[in-house]
Amino acid sequence: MSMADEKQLWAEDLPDGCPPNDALSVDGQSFFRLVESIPPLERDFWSQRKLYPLKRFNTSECIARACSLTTTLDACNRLKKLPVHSHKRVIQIRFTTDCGVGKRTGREPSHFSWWCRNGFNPIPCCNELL
Amino acid sequence: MRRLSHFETLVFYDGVQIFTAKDQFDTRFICMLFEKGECSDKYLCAPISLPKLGQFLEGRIDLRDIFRNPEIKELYQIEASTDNLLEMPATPVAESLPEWLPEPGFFMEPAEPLETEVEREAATRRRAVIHCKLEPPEARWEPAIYAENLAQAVKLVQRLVKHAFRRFLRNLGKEERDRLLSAENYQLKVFAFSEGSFNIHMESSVPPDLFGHVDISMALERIDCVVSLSEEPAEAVQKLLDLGPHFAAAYKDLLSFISETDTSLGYSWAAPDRKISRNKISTSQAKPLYKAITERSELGSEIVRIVGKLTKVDEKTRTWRLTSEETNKEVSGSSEIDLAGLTIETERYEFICEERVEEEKGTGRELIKLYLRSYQKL
Repeated sequence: MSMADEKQLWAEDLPDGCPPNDALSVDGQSFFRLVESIPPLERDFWSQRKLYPLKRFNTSECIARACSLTTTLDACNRLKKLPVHSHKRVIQIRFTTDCGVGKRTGREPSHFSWWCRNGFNPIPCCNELL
Repeated sequence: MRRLSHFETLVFYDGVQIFTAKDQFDTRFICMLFEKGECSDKYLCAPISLPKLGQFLEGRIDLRDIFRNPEIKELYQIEASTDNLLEMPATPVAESLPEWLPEPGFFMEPAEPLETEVEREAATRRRAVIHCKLEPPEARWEPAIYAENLAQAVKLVQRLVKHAFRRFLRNLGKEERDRLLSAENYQLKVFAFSEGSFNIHMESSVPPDLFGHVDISMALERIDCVVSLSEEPAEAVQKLLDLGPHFAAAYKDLLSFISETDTSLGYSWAAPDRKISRNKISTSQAKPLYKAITERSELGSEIVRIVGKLTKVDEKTRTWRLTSEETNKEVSGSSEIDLAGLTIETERYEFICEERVEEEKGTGRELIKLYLRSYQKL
């Protein structure tokens, strides 16, 4: 597969070497995410780079172009204790097939970075958790 | 005015939520995102001592308590803008507004259970961690070691890591190399000792990125490649040829130490993104390895290319000085060829030199000498 074809696999324009080689398919797995509204909107699954094109992030460009997920509900509920997330809602996302790849990133074991496949719509896979 | 620089991200979720920072006086702060903007983010920061930070990282202190009862009664606000991620000016906050504070019950997640102590330390301390197991004769009955042997061993290990790291840098592009040039990227810190002969616990000075990667791992991998060949001196020498004369000299000195002090050296290391790796050089392996290295004179030198402008040329003594464009440092050497016609200050030259690592007589200090083999004007 050429580099150009490889880049077209992803929903966002990713830098070379991104996603990392050891990122694994998320297909068939469940994760949790904080969203602004129920039902979630498309932009609830945009990366920070897509949301804030002018911003500089204190992280690699590859992670800035990923979407954060958590492996546990507790982790999302805990994040809601922070001021910028307190108004958000928690959803569970059950990935089906060809949804993209993920990798555990950051200090905390529950945090995952997810790189979404081109053409995958996560919204129908979401359920709100109260 | 205090200026804070990001040190380590503690909580990441669609951006940096909580991080540690240092000011120009090396005071540690904990900072929490409280306002997200289109171009910049605002963080609330509280000074924090290392013991209290340790308790927070272990999940024993609520984040809210840190901000409600800071150890020094000061809170600051910083703005991480597009053009200023380092040295962010910190504005004192007279009174922290309630909506800025986290709700009660925000504790850090405990680290995942891991099998070995070195992996656990790497995960909890968020560093590459190395355990060096020294087995000198004096440690056979109790965990003790002569101070001089301990100091020498630590110094030799650090030197080996330094040269392995510098070798790794050679394969990188200029921008990446410049980013990693500073010594803190290969510096080790000793943070503990444990029994079982004499175990020294060391860690990388810098934290990992969000993937858990610490660049010093690249140096440790190179050391693994050589040490894993301790039973095969000829193959080890071959590997050393790839790693250059500085690493070879450092390795030779380590082998000499092991042999002369009768101190086997075992080590294990891990990083947040790396499982444990273990290796050992026994005293019986060190002698034939040392012999094999000393027999190969080419391990003491290599050909290097230096580009820059000359600052001094002496045709009679055949010596020269040149400012390297790559490092922006002045290097000097002698020449085996005629230096007539070389121009200082104005012309750029490419020098092809033999770099020899020699030992200073008497002190045994490593000396680096450059011998010009050929040059061309650019």
